[in-house]
Parts: sequence; structure tokens; C-alpha cells
Amino acid sequence: MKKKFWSARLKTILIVALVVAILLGVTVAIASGTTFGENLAGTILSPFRAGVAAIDRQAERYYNYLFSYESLQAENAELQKQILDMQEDVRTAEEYQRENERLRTLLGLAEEHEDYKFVSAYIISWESSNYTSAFTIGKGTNSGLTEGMCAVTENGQVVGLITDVGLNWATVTTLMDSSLEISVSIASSGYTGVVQGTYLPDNTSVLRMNYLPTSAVVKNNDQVVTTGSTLYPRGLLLGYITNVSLDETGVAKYATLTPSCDLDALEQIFIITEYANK
Amino acid sequence: MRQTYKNILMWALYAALFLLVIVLQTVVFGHARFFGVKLSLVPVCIACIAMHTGSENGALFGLIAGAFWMLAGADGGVLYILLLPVCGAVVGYLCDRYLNRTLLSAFLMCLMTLCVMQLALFAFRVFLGTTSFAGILSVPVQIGLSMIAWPFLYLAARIVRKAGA
Repeated sequence: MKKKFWSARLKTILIVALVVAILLGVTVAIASGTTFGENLAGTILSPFRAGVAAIDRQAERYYNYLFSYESLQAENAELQKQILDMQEDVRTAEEYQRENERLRTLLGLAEEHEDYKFVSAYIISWESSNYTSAFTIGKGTNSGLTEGMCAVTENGQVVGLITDVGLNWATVTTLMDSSLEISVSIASSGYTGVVQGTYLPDNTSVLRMNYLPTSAVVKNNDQVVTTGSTLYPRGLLLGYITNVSLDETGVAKYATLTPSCDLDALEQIFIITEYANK
Repeated sequence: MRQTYKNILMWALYAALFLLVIVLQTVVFGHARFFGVKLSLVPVCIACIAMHTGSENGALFGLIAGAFWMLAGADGGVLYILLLPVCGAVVGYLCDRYLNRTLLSAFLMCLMTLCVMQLALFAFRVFLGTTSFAGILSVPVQIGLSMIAWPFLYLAARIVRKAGA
């Protein structure tokens, strides 16, 4: 006799699946912080992810060395040219003192903000969905990380916020994700707004600064920095303005930004664990 | 006694294969977009395993794998818990009754599972408002690219099945 599809055991499994889905869905939705199950799954995966990520990084370096030598040479030449340009800028530093001071405030993070305490971490995996932008790092509560801490690059550019943390891992949701909203201001003019990632139909995403007044005068390449909150300090560089338009309501403007850091090229990030909220 | 040991070995190897797929998907291919999309290997893995384990065991493995994948931070995690057991059951049943366990059958089963999973995930995202309907064009691209893993995962699942036979 041929086996029927709807066997009693299969029905039981599918009912259990429905119950588990509802229970886990509700638990994750209402639980504050990381649930025991998430922590367990993350802790099991973390050493494997860290190991494979290290191998992946090494393989990428060898690949670049073997197959991208010419492009690296070209990049090196370009960087040398940039260094020369920057040295020229330094020679005329007095002329650009005010601009220089502002850039130093943004870029010289560690020197300027002695109150900042950092924890460095390597990225060990990336969220594989098309609709979210997040990655996992190989440090967690055992290194003093908690939810809501701000992740930056070595230059103090905002990368995102920690949204989940386990014993030896943490998930950083990047500023390109639509679930993250960050209060910002335009460094040169002081206009404030809220930056949020927006996914476009072609699977690319842009940063959008909402709630600008219609009277705001904004220029391309204006720097956008954080205004500060209980989660992140003020003055961290977030991006540069590329375009300004009226929003759908017609009573406010919005600006599109390019992020200041190249998220795809990130290997290591720094979590600000302490800062004085001045 | 010997058969019990072989069964345990087989399920341990299936679990290791699933773990390897998760790590590859999130670490190696996690930050790379090909033609604007990321690979989705988990449904392919479940389909290949369910082909060799039958409907009931395929559903059970889909349930456990879906729960683990959700807890590991998968986007649309609840959908995986609901749909992976269903896909596992259907794939296992079709292979038990109507299909031979060949590479071509595996192609059809993986394609079917990917279509169900990715379309459901897309519909879920449209429902939540995090993407627009115009993004539907990315779904076939993602399915097509993810199918590249089908022969490798089919062969891996077949080898594991032989180890437990």
C-alpha cells in the first residue's frame, strides 16, 4: 500500500511547527534584549563563523595579491598623489584653520575625545537577506558590549548600532537598514533631521535625511553628523549630502546622503562603550 | 545496534552540512551581492536533505533547521519555521512516490522550494512595507543564482544518506 501524505506523524510535526513559530515569534517580539534561544544559537555559530571569516579574509588577501596586483599598484599611485595633495593642504593650514579645526573635531576622534572608550572587533558574518543590512561581530557581553552601543570606523565614521548581543557575538545593524533612525545635523548649517536607510526597488539602498525645513539651504557634499543621544555621542560623521528635494507631503525637505564609510569594505570596527554625553 | 549508530551518524552529518551552509551563506557570501542580490542556500540544503530522508523526517529536519536558522538571526525567521517543514514534507513525499532520486529531480525540488521560500519572504517584506512590489524582479535572479549550489548540496546529501544506509 502506498504511503499517504497526511500521516498522523506529519500532521503532528506541522502542528508543532505552527506552535513553535507562534511561540518564538511572540517571544522574540516581546522580549527585551536577546532571548536564551538566540543567545544559544549565536554562541554555537560564533566560533565557526569566526574561524571561516579568518580563512575568508586570508583567502581574499592572497587573491588580491595574486590577481589584483596591477589594480593595487594603480591604487597605490592614486594614494600617493592624495598624500601629496594633503601635504600641500597642510602647508596652507593657517589659511584653512577654521575648516581644519572642524575636520579635526570629526576625524581626530581619539585625541579630541579622551572620554571615548573603544572595543575593537572583527566582522565575522553578514546578514544574508536582501532587505536588511546588518553583520555579526566576534565580541559580546564578555567584552562589555551591550545593546544600543554605537559602532564606528577607525576614523570615527558611524557604521551602526548594536541591536542584539550574546556572550561572544553581537549583531550590528548598519545605518543603511530601514529599521534604524539616527538624529543628525548638517555640520555647516546646523539644520537637524533624522537619517534612515531606504531600500530601492533595484535592491540598492540610500540614506535619507528627513524632516528638513523647506527653507533649509543645503549644499551638496555638506557633512552630516550625529546630534548625540543616550546611544551615541554627538559629532560623529555619518555621511555627505548628494541631493535635496521636497518630500511626499510637500511641507518638508529631505536630503539623500552617501555614507561616509564604505560598508562593503569593512573588516574591523570599533564600538564606543563609554563616552561623556556633553 | 549498528543501524542505530549509522542513523545517528547520518543525522549528525546532515546537521553538520546544514551548519556549513549557514556559515557559508552568512560569512563567505554574506556581504557579497551578485547582480544586486544575495544567495539563499538554506532552502536548497533542506530540499536536498528532504529528498533522501522522506516526508516525515524531512519535515522534522525542516522544523529544527528553521527554528535554529531563525534563532541565528535569519530575516523573516518565523516564515522559515513554518515553510521549511512544509517544503521538506512535500519534497520528501514527491521523491518517495513519484520521482527517482536523481540530479534532475533534485533540480526541480530545489527550484520549487526556493520559489516558495523566496516568494513568501518577498510577500512578507512587501506586507511589512520594507520593500516595494517593483522589487519582485530580484526574486528570480536570487533563485537562479542560489540554484548554483544545487548539484553540490545534492551530492553531499546523497553521500551522507549512503553513510547512514
